[in-house]
Amino acid sequence: MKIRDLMTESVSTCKAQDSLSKPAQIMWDSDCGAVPVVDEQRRVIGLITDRDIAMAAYLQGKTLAESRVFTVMSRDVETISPDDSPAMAELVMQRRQVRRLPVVDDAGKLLGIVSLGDLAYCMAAEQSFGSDGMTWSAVAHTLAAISAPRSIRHPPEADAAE
Amino acid sequence: MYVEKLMTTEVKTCSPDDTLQRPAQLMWENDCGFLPVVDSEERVVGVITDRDICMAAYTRGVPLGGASVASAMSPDVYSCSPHATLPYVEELMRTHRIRRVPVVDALGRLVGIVTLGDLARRAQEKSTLQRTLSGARIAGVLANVTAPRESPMAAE
Repeated sequence: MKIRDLMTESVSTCKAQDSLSKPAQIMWDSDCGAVPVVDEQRRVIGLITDRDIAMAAYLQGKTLAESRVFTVMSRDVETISPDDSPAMAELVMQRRQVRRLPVVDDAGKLLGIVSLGDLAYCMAAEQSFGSDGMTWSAVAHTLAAISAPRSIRHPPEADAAE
Repeated sequence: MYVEKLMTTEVKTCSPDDTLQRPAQLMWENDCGFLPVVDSEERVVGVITDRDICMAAYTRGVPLGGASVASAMSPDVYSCSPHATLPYVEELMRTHRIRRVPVVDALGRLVGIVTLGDLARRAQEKSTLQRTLSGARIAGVLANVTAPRESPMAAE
């Protein structure tokens, strides 16, 4: 099984210059918690989460319509190829302590998104143990690694726009 | 193994009368995304997440100082006793599709919090055989918590 087999393909995106209302609306409409930020060629240049928006609202003291996506998005986004294995996705999630990875082609263009939940859901649906190097235990291990207390806090680049 | 051995007891809280500025500040300072909401007697009356704050800011269109915790929190609290077993808590998370559970005493007062991550880390500490079994349970809970709302699993 490859990442392309379990990724979510219909992913709504926003632009760096959008106000925070745009990703918030997508999160509201789609019941999701992360929106990829893309350029005009649909290349992934960032990722913004519901937490990023909540923290921006706190730190900037403005309404969402008054703040821009590029002021709070994560720029250092780890991505994965559609031909990579689920086990590779788990390794990356563990190493970076993230639950979601944008899936991109060779040119960096967005094809989909894969989440830890997708990996767990895939295991639950297929009941497949270890056939491609991923086991129930591995999913739990990844969750444990991701939810371990962090030593580093990443401050949003809140002043970049000012 | 009971919840009290695993729970976090240093839990920040906010009041339903606070503005959203307060829980956001606590989430920022403590790198967390979830706070129990307690009344003046430390009884849990709700829970609020960073997502709740994001969505309230979006739907209200006001700065966080302009909306109350009570208006954005989830008043449906699924809590457990410090003497609850880990399988009980797993089942609670699975049934209600939640990742965090406030731990309360007999009077409903907050004594701690236990998360799906706590259960996963506990599963990692066990022996290899137990780890495989517990890992399966934890992954199953995670799958259920994060499944799409119109669950295809229900059709199988």
